[in-house]
Amino acid sequence: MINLTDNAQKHMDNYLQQVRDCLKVCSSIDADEVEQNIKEHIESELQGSSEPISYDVLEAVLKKLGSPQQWVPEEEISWWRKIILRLRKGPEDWRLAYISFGLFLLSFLVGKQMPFFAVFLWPIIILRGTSTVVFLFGSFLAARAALAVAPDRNKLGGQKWLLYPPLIVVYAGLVILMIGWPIAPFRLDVYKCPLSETPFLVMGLWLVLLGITFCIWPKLVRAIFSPFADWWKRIYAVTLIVAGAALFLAFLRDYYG
Amino acid sequence: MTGILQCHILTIMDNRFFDNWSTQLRKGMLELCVLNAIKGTSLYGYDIVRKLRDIKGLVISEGTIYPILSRLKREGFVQTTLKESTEGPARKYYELTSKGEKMLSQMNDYWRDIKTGTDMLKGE
Repeated sequence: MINLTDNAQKHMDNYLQQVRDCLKVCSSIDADEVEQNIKEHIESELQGSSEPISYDVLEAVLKKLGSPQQWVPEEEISWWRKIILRLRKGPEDWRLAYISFGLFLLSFLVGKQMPFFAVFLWPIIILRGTSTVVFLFGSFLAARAALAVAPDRNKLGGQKWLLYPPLIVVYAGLVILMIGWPIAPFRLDVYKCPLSETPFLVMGLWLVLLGITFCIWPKLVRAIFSPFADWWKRIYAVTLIVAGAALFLAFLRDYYG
Repeated sequence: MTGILQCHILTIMDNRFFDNWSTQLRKGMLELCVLNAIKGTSLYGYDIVRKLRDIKGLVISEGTIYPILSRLKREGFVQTTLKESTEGPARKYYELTSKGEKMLSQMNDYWRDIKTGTDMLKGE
């Protein structure tokens, strides 16, 4: 038996515990036998070193042995353990995708008193200060970060299923907010408006303004709604301007007609 | 600045590709090398590791060898015998079973075919 310092002994115990934890999930491996081999390996490596063996000397041996997590054949790891491992040490892009989806699910769980579709109305929920929105935005930011680090955004593969749900929900809410905010105060009767046609005027002017903005900076739409708006062109912004102008004309017709 | 960043990202991606490829290759090669290491002899687990770690690029983490030995034993390709040691308690020595010898011969043939084919593609 080798004599270790207290620190080194603690380190060794931790390492052997890791070995047991990692190997007990493998049916094709005799964990006790491997643990015994590892102990003998460490003793053989440390033979001739001055005792008590220090933490640093032991660490050098354990470093060469490597992390026990690397020894487990991937096909023998259960799906839930794979998820945990990916979250802890998986490739950055997948880790973000799992985090994003996890937060997205949490946003539903904490908002269970709300109907399913209500999550699309996050701009309204945000005013109530619900924690759903906090998780949803966390999920959204993780998804956008995952897109940013992806080597090729068009080849996300299975990650799409994890990344797209929060993106779709947030973008849908954003579209509702972007289109609907000018008329919401009228619907909610916040302003005591003397004219019933005023919402047409406000909405028309807003759409024209939005159309002009997106016409000048089409990249803005592509950036905001990435990766779903890569097809966006200036011509589509013209549609917004035309729709706005039509509403404005409707206001004029009602006002003077 | 963007050019340097792009070059850096490409290098990282290339490294990741090579790491994935070499990890996959190593997985199968380690089993072949472990079996070859104990062919015609019986070796103590630590001696097998010492023998294999001299092969450049083969053993990244030395601990990997022990679960492989355990798996090969479960599969019936190797067996163990306890032998007295002058340096301490009895040691477990690994040797090939007849089933293991057959498997090793099959694996060596397969590897030789692959290597010959690869060398031909390289024009050697």
